[in-house]
Amino acid sequence: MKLLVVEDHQQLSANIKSYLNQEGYVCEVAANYQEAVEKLYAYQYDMVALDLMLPDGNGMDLLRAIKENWPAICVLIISAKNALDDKIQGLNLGADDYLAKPFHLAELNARIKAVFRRKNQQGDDKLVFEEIVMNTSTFEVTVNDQLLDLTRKEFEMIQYLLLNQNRVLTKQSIAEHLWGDYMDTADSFDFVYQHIKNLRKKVAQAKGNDYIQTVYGVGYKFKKSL
Amino acid sequence: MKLIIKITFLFMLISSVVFLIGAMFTYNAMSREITLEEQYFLEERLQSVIGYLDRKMPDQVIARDKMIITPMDSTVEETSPVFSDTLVTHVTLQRIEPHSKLDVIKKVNGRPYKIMLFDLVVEEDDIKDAVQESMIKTYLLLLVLTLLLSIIASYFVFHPFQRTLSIIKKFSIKDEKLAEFPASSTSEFKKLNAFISEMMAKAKRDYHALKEFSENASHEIQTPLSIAQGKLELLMESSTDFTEEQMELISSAIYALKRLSKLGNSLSLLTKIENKEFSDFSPVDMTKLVSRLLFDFKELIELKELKLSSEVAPDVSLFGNQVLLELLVTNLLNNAVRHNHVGGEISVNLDKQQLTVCNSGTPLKGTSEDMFRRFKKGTDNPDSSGLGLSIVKRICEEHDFLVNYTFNAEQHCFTVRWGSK
Repeated sequence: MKLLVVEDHQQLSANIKSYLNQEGYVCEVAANYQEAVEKLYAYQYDMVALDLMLPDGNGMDLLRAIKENWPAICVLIISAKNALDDKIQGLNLGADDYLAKPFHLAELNARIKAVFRRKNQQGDDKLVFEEIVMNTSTFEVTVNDQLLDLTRKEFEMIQYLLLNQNRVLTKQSIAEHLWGDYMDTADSFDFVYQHIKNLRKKVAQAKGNDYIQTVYGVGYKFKKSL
Repeated sequence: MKLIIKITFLFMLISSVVFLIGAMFTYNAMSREITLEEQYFLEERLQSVIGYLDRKMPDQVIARDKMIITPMDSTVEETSPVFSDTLVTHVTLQRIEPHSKLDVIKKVNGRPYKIMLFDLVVEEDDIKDAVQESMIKTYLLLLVLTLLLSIIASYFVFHPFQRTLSIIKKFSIKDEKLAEFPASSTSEFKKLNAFISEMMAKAKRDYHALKEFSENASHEIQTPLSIAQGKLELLMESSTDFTEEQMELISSAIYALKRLSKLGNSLSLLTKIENKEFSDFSPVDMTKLVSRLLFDFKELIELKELKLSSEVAPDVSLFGNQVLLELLVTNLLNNAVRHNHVGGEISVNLDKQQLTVCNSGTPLKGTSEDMFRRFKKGTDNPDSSGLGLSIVKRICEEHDFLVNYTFNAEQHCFTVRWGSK
């Protein structure tokens, strides 16, 4: 997958690039509106991660231009303006998702994957990892063809883990993914622990392997080999 | 009381003193003049009496109305006229009246006569009455005219002042444009207008600068925070050889960054509410909203083993901003969960008049007013930003709701009333 990051802060785009390269994406960076348009004309991209505040133009205009000229490209808005208006306007203009700064790179990764899957793998909404099969449209997870009885949060958690394989996921990033902004208590970490515990139990009951590694003091990692 | 009326009354008080003194002067002058005139009159009559005596040379006493002439012995010496007051029976009125009297012994053709002349005097009481009456009438006329004129004049003189007042009354620090003061020829008003206009401009400038600063600061802070957070996440993955301690260090740095970012977001939210960026109001189904949020919080409540009792009345609808009302309920619920102890209680009550959220917990350290102030924390919980309740308060102000906090029997209770009328 080829991705264009339109972001004027070099350090931030470097972070994104570095993280996404590890996922095997081809990632390019445009620092301003002009550069972004030039790159869009010159190369083909599957996805654009777009900052709304650009030094030489409004990201909304760029979004409009992309949707007009290259409708197949998915657009994920990254903005420091956590304003509802921007979010609604962006989504109305055809953006596929909206992520407010600062975000966890794992969250960005999960969003990109989710958006990309939604857009490009129509019909095939199955996410397979070894014996675990996840159906993203029916919200069902089977392990060894055995349906797991999962709560919504457990489903979201296993999806987040699956989308960020081999990555260290901090408890905080998981908590934010599950509960959004209004979960900021230290309690949330206990909640994450509870959910992980339940999830492990349910997978084990279906005789699945435990792929969730505990990274002590930090969080979890979803990994194939032990 | 209006300034002009006050000034008029003060003026009338001073003039009443002037009128009193003036009345005394008038009275004195009048009685003096009248006495003099009476004496002249008596002296003139004396001359005509002397003329009469010269012609007739009477030997008997002549007693007529207001005149008694008595012939005297030739040995009696002449005297100068003496004026005095006396009481004499008035012929036509048939009663005793005060008169002025002239006594003189005059020699006419060598024969002395004692002449007594009387004349009715103008009584002191009459002069007093006359002076009093005229003074009171003049005073009343002055009062009425002054009041009338001052009211008319004040309309013209104080018109610019009234305009200034109404401009001050309408002054809003959030208003972009500066108010125009009407020109005035009164130098005091000119100074006042110039001063107020300068003050307003300064207040607006300061407010604007402050607003811009807090807006920009909370926006601009997010990008560097993103960068730092990303770097730490990359660092965390850069090696598998990190010890648990090292990982924890990185993780808590990320956590601190996130809190900083939330702080920025909360502050910018407060600014936005203050900037009236959430002014699109519509009917909001509170029953639905509260039920939905309770559902969202169910998990957190269960995980903390809290006992939830909720009573949500059907069909409670409010006119307000959907986003803000959702935030209001979320913050209250969040607060109730956060400041609770494991195994505690939460009760949520929604009816047509109010929303009450109560939770068990330890008593506060500060006063209940402090609760709603920014960065005032009732507990030592490091995870609470200290902004949640000020946001609640701000939202309530925005909607004209009353928010109230009580602590009773180990229960913290927040009540938001909208049915106050």
